[in-house]
Amino acid sequence: MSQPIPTSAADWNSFFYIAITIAMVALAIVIGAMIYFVVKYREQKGQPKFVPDFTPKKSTAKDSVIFALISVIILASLVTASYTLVPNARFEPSDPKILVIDVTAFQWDWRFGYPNGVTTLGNVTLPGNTTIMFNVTSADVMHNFYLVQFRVSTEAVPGRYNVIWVTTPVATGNEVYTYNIYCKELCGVGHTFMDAVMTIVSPAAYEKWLASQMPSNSTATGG
Amino acid sequence: MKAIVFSIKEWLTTTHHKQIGILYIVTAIFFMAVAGMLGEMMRTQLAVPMNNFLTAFDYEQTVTLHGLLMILWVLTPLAAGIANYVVPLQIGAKDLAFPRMNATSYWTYLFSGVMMISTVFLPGGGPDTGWTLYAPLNTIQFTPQPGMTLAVLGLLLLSLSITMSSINFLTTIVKNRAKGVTWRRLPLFTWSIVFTMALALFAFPPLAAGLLLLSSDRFLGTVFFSSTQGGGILWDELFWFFGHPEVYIVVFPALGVIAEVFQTFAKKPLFSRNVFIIEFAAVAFLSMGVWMHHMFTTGVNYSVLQTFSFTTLAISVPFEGLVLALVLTLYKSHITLNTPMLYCLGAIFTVTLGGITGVLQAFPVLDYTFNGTYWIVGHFHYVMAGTTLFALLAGLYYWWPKITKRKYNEKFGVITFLVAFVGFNVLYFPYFFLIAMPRRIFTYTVASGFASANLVATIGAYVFGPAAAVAVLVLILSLRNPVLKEANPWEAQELEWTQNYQHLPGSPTAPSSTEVAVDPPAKKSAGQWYWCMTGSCKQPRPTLSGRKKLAFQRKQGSISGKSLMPEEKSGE
Repeated sequence: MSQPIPTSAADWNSFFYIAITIAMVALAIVIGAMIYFVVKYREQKGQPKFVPDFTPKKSTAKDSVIFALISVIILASLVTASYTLVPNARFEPSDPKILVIDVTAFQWDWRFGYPNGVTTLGNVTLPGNTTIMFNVTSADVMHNFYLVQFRVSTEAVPGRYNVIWVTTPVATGNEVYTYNIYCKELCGVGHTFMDAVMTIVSPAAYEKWLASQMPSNSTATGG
Repeated sequence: MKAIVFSIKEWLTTTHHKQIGILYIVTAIFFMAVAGMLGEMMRTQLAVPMNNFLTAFDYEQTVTLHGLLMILWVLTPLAAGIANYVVPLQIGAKDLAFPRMNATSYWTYLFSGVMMISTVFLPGGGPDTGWTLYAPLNTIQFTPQPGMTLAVLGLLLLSLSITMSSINFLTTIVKNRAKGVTWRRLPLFTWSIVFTMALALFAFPPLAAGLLLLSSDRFLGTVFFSSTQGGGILWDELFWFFGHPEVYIVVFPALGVIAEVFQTFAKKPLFSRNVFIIEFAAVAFLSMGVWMHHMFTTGVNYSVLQTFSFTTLAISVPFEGLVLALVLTLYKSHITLNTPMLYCLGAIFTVTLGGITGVLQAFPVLDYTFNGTYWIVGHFHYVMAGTTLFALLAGLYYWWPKITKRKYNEKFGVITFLVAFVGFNVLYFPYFFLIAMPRRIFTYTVASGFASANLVATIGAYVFGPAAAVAVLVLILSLRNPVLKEANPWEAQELEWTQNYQHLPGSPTAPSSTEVAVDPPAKKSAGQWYWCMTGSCKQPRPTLSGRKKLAFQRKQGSISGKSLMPEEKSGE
């Protein structure tokens, strides 16, 4: 079953592939040069014995200046790339209709709290094409809330709320998309199977589902 | 029989830097065998989905012990062992500045390692928190087993040992250099130890502070780390303020060894030596200011993200400069491709790949995904397991004729390297494809899609582990080889080979009692010194054979073993 790639993951992937390509080119240059030098300047059998000369050469300032200049250029381009990309994942989106979901991690499951007081365990159902704000905390030890296919994560720290935003993929009809949520921080023996499922349905189906979750007796839920 | 008892007593009470160096190396290799076996156990468990070779609790203990042992009890002390042997020879010092403190460091290290391994045999098991020991999982509420408490104490003891070592080495290198060995002429391995030990001096106190607070939590019931008012983050800060410099503490000696080996076997001085040392200093300085990049996902604010993204990218520039200087040394050189050289070339490959993947992690956006996944595991195994292990093995092979006066079997050495290098890459390269797989999970389902990469990695582990063991075996087997006649079989240029005696003119520790003293060369100017080191100038060499020399030293009373409380000689 092919599922839509969330926008955050698409952004992530495109940046990752650019970055990894540049990185691999850099790796190929360094390692290629090394292998070339080794092959070219390898000592062959039968060559006359080479007497090394370790007399210290006058070090020229030119070397250092070229080194420094190249360094500054590389650093400037890296930092520019990093600074323009940081906001993507950290800044509050301007969408006024944000759905806020409280996420509480505990040993060893996830509890999701909806604005109307409904809580679920290990499964979060969300409407499509909506900006979701996850308000993540922990009830005991550190966990890490990892939306695998969305390529975002945040630490679940006891006594502290960390916030991440994602935009869910479009779902209008009867589609049901499921995405995985893993815990990325070792949190005890149950760490391995501390996962949850995110189910994306159309907004209409979501409303229906939410209504079905509302308890008939009003005593069951708190704010 | 009597002789054996005597020699055991000698080894137990020694304060001589060479013997302590050998003790460090042997002990580190023993711990490496233990931690390597733990690694093989983990790979066996992860070979196929839903395996039940280890239980979840056993697996988490294995993960923790493997990480702690490898980083703190194997890589750092193995470098310290080589440094113990080589640094005094390179700078022309009789011994380290505080020989008895050196012995104390070693025994503290050994005892703390035994403590750490014994934790898993205690009732309730050992620590199962990962090597980072994150709070509040490390508090008594979540890990009540006494093994965890013992592990904390073991770590405290190790901090003590390493702090003593770092003070000892720094004092030695600053104060006990022979007159001719100025800072500018200091051999590169010694330079790398200067930066390593300077970092250790500043990195371990935060760890010790954190461990003291944690002990207080566990013994006295304080709530430093169990508090919900930032206890977990407090541990993160203290731990990573130690943890990031620790990475460089592990990698620096490796770069020092590579520089030495390249100079010897490429028969060429290092490319832009001064810039190399300045870059070393820059990396050391910056490494104290990048620890927050381990915490990008803990919800730190935007300006902190920007700052630490900047410093992390900044450190990659001088670091890559170090690697480039090493590679450019090979330009127009005359390379002898033997075992130490091959290990160093392998280490250059792993440090470049590990370093470049590390640069990607400096981008917070990318790190939100990488953090806590097998990508990170792949990255740091390339940097630490690959670079440091290969380079330190290169160091052992390189200085083996110095330490044992014997040559290993070159053919075995080369074949072992090739197998180990291939096995290493088969083991760790698939990790870069496991971006979705969280670290420290003890098994996975078929549906997760992690199976094929994990199987390949396990096959690699079954090749790499035995190959690393054989690499050590090749060295051990060489002890049966005949004693070398020449003192400098590599025709190396550095002081520990060319100056085959302990003290150089003007050494504060002269006259040496630990080596046969020979006439010092006449005082020379800077250029002449190097000319002299190439062996062109007449240089008297000690003529006594190894055995006679030992007898001579015994007579002099320089190799300790006369009493359980060895006499410390004054520095006159």
